[in-house]
Amino acid sequence: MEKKNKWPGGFYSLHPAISFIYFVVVFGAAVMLKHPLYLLTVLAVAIAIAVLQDGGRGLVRPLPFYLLMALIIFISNPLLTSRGRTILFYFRDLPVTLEAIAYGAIFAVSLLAVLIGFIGYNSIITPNRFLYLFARLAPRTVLVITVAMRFVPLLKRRIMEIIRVQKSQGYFLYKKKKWLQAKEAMETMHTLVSWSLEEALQTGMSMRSRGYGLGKRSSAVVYRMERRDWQMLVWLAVTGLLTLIGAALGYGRYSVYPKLMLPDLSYLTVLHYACFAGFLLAPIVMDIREVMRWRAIRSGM
Amino acid sequence: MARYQIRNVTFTFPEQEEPALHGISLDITEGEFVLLCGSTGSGKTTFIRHLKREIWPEGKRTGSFLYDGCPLEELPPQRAASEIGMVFQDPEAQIVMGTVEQELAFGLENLGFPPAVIQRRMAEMVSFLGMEGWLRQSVHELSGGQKQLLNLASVLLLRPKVLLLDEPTAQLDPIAAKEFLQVLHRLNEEMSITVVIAEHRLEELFPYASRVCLFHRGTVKYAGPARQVIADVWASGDKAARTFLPAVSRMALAWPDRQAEAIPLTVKEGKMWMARVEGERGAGRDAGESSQPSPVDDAPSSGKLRIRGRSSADAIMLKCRSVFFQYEKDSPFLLHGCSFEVRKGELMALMGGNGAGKSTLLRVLSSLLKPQRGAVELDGKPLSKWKEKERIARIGYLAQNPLLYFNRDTVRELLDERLSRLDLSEAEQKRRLEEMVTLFELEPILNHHPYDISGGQQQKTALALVLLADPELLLLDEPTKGLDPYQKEKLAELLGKWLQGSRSILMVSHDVEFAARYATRSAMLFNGSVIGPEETSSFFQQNYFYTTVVQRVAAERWPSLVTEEDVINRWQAFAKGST
Repeated sequence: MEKKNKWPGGFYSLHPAISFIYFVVVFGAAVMLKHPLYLLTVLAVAIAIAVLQDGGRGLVRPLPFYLLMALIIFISNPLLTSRGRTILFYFRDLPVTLEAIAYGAIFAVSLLAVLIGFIGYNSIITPNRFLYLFARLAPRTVLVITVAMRFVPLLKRRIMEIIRVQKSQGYFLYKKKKWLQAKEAMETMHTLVSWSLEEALQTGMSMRSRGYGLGKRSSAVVYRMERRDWQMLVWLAVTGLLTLIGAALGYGRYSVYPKLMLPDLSYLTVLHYACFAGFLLAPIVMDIREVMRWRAIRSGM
Repeated sequence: MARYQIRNVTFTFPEQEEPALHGISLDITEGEFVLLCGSTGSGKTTFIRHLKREIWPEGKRTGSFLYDGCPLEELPPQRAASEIGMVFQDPEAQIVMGTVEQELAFGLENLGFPPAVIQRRMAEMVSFLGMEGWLRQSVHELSGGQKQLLNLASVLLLRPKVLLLDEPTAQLDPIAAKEFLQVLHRLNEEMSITVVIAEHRLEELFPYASRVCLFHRGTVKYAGPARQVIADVWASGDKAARTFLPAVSRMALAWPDRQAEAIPLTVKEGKMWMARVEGERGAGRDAGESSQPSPVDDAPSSGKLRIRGRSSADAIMLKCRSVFFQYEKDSPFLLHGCSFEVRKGELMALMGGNGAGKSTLLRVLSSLLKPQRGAVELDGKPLSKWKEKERIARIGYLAQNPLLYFNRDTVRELLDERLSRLDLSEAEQKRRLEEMVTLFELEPILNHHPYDISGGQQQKTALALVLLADPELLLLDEPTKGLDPYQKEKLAELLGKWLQGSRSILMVSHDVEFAARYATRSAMLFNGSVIGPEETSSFFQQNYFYTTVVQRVAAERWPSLVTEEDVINRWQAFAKGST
């Protein structure tokens, strides 16, 4: 189901192609960058997007699990590698270095950024929008995926129905004999398959009778590139390109090995970071402006 | 201009000798509303599928189909897909996409319409059919009636000139079905869309139909305007064909001196007809009689039909005490303080709209779902206290879809497999098997694959599987779904034979006519609880929509008569009294 957005002019309302490109860059940055400041920015942006989309509801449930994973990586990295010059102490004859700890921290932040980024991604690039984006590349495949997506819950409901009937017929009574249960579960599948095939015949007829397979399919959903979309695209293109050129020239790179040092803070590096932040923050600025606007309108009412 | 010219069509399914359609010739002109009726297996569905080339069944076919003067085979595929629309019986199986919006767009997308056209057509159609509220819903959240309306809408978006419908309301409750048929009538009147519909729900359709075709064993036995067909069928004395006529007309035709040209079709006409007949027969005398019908007169026919076991009165089989049930934590309560009881030796009918929770209630009663609160008692002992095996043996549950029961390759294997689970001696197994096979007349299909037999036979097979365990309480979920009047009568006969001693049946159904004729007591499930149960005749007397057509016609004169037989008997008594 297409979700309804609280703020009609926010990031969600952009053309899905732009949002998609944006997220590709965010995930790319989260995976490739090693610079702590850059990475922390990516993480902050990922959290902000997730929170702005649904008030952080999607974030709360998986967060403990994500943090645990990050913690495991943070702890295990120094235990697994001993690279780096600054040895802090020995753990069971194993040198634990400051660099390895720092690397673990960076790695953990990078992982968190990707995981949390996906929460925002899922609420903005919904499955339908994703399919829309790729419908032109592979129309048939996309249709098959759409139909299959309906089948997952459908088959689940059918299985439940069959199991209920089987229970009423005295199936699944052997609590202790697992192999008998497995045999009966196979019969559930047998019934499911023959029933679903029977239904699929009808679905097929209904598809054919509505002209399926007669020619090139069109798509009912259209996202038009509006002025806002073009503005956003230009902004993202300019800041993105500058960031990429800067990265190619070596700005924003950082390595904890061989020895942990402060990142350089030259004039050009700061400029490069500003470009990068300008790219990342654009949707957040959009959303926050939207929130403010609606708050103003509502309090004026 | 003729839409269809069908000439001498004969069609035989592969590996069968008897043709499914035999020498059918028919012209269908633009704007006609053609009703196809007849028993299941009489060739209605096969015929209707022949009107759309994309879904022609495999088999040997002779004769010609012309659509607008052009052979159906040579019609350009784009035109064939958009001009001839088809709605099938099963509301669920014909839906392709996941959400209402996607499903509506499906046909138009197939034909490559640009998005702007799709949007505009969708906008119009959605407001015409009042679907605004559920446009963004996913398909499985819709009720059966909504699903079928969606199927109709997605066909209508292609702007068809002909609409073919194969028993579209078979799975809808009476009110949803009426709504659906009214939309069809409107489309026929306002857009002059040609409608060809095969249906069992004839009471509502005869008045709309400009032509009725009665199928019998692959031929069109009677065809013509509704009143003429009714008169022809009645005159021929064909008992089987008579069951397909509307009850109002049959009631009028049972009157000794009838006039063919004024056969009533609707409740309104029926009432007017009754008033007229009464006027002719001296209104003064029956005014007194009609206001106080003597109970003796209508007792015999109801008593004869009603299925009833011979048990000591009022012993209770099943008791349901303030049951609350919801599927998920946040979903609404489908059963909300539901209390009622089923007595020993009765057939109780439970009505209610699509999605009222009737099926859910049956599942709770058979302990397949656990209620959140409340208790169900079988024979005075809570279900949870019964041993699982014993409980399963005592409660027979027949789900709506017989396909759920079929996991073997022949009917015989199915029955054997079921018996082997029952811990019976060999002699007893044999006895029960024979009993079921004779009771349900399964002998000829024992070696058939359960998917190859007709819908009615599938239903019987599933019922036989349930009854093999010799339960005391039988829970039936829509047992008359998809059955024609003759099969329904057979089913009632079977249930009557089975219901002996202290056995009981609880049936949930949309089928008002069936319940009114055969149920001992009836009740209604509404807003999560059971309203009623009452003696069937008094239950239907008080209803306005959920009641028989006959009752609506005769309510003012003889409020206690709810079935056709009641009224006809009363008529005859009245005619004798007045002559």
